[in-house]
Amino acid sequence: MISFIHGLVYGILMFLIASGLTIVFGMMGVLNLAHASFYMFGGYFGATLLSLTNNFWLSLIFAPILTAATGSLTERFLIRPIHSAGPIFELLLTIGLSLVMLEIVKCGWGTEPQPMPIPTVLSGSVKILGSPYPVYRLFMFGLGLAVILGLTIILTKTNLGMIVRAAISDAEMVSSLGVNTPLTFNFVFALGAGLAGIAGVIAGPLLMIYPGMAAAIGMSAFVVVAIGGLGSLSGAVLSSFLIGQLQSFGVLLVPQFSLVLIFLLMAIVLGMKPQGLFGEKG
Amino acid sequence: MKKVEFGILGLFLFLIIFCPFFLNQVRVRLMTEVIYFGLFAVSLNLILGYGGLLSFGHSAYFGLGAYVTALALLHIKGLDLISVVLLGGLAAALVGSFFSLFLIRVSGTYFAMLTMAFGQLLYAVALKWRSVTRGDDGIGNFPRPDLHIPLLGRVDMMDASNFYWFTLAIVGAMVFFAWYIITRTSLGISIILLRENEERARFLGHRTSLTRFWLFTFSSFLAGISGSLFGIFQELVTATSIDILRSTDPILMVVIGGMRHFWGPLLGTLVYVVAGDWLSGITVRWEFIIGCFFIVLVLFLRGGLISLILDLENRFMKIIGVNAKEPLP
Repeated sequence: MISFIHGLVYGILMFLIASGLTIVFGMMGVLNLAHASFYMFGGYFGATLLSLTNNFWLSLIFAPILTAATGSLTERFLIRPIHSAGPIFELLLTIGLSLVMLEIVKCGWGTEPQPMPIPTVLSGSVKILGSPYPVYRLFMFGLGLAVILGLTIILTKTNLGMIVRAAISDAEMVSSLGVNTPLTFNFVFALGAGLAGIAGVIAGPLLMIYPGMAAAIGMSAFVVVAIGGLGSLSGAVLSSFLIGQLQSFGVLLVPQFSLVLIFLLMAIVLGMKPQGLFGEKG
Repeated sequence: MKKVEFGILGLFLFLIIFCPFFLNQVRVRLMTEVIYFGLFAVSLNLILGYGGLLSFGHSAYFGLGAYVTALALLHIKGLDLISVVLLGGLAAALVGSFFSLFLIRVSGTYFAMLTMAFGQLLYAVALKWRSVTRGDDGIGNFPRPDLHIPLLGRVDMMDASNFYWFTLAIVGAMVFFAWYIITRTSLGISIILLRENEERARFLGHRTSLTRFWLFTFSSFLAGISGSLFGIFQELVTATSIDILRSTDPILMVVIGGMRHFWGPLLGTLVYVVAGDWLSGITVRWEFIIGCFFIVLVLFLRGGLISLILDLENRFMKIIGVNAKEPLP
């Protein structure tokens, strides 16, 4: 049972990262290999703001905003000029970007882990079915769930969400209907970066803030997106849940091979159905 | 003007072949790295430059070659050097051909994702199958056999210069082999046609899947050879020889050198390894410089450094009154 909740929490964290990745791909056709670096930036911004203001909530609000701003600038000055050159060059660019972002973090903050304590309000534990469970993980789960709900509402109920969903299915048509698609793209890219930033801040106290954090979680995020289907948000929800559980129970039952299992699953799904479980035919 | 070109090429070859005579041991070792990574970059460029597809798990074959070589040297007594290297290449080709059955069905971003999945799968196996691969510790302490050449006798491979020449000979043969296939065979023509216009290739009766299959298999064979040389050279094979960074390394080399030209990757490898070595002596954050340089190239100079050189050459030719050559295919 505890493993199941662990898996849920991890799955939610996965989803926060994977959702941005998959929406950006769905709309712009860009698989952002540097996406996990925004998660890392979020964590570092959060840790710095926390040490400056000593207020977890402030850093939870402003670190993702800073990350989103970084994402917006990245889209405007790096991704957009390269878009016409095709997917290969976009992939290449984001590879370079992830390298540079990693080095920026190492230059700016050094290579040693940054401290990020759990706020005192959330540091206790509650009893679930008779066994104690840390409140902070439950808080992560709740926040993640709230973000999913918020995202769903934005996507399905608002004008902006309508444009985004339309652009996912046919960006060119939306653009010719008079919508400023470059602006929408920019917004969506920033949103994705912001979501990854939120994940970075809330993961900080649990998984530590260190230069390897992007690589540690980035690969799982790609697995989630690949299995769920590039561009599919519901696919990302399901496969985050799946990978979260697989990770959690895999470590418990077959510690030797949990990593192998995850990549085997990815290889099988992609080998059989390249566009992923819920992806549209690309 | 051909004479000038051959002269420059000859001088270059002369420098490459005879450099152990005027470089110290450390530099010779560095040049050995350039040579076998060069083959790795060439093998990746077959897919990236000629296939028009980005492989994000090419280290799978590199690492496979390295592991198979290390295991063979450890467990099989009396194996000679050349068959060990070929064994590494063939093992990689075998696995590569199996993966290719799936890879020929996808393209673009999905190709990158699937290659990444296969690469990570092998990485996970290498890391976790401890009884064979010894996990993080890696396989070391395997012998490096001497080379037996008929008439010449035994050549000591522990000598840095001798090993450099051995690597150079193997890589030279393989690169020539690749160059021959790409430029002189119908398979090569088919590969380039496929990149330019797949639909037309299919209409013309080319069996596109089969072409891709051979391209991927051949590329994994070359990557396996270079991994095998790497394993023998380093005398230690760990999971880092197969991880994701090992897959991005050749991508950087190919893009820096120029992906639309056969010799681009070799130039890129030379620049990447030598500049990396030089920069890492000056600053700890040398990867930052390489990364920025890479981004600038992707944004502004997609032909890589080699296109810059060829462009300068053309201009120079114009100045001295010779017509510019045809643009490259």
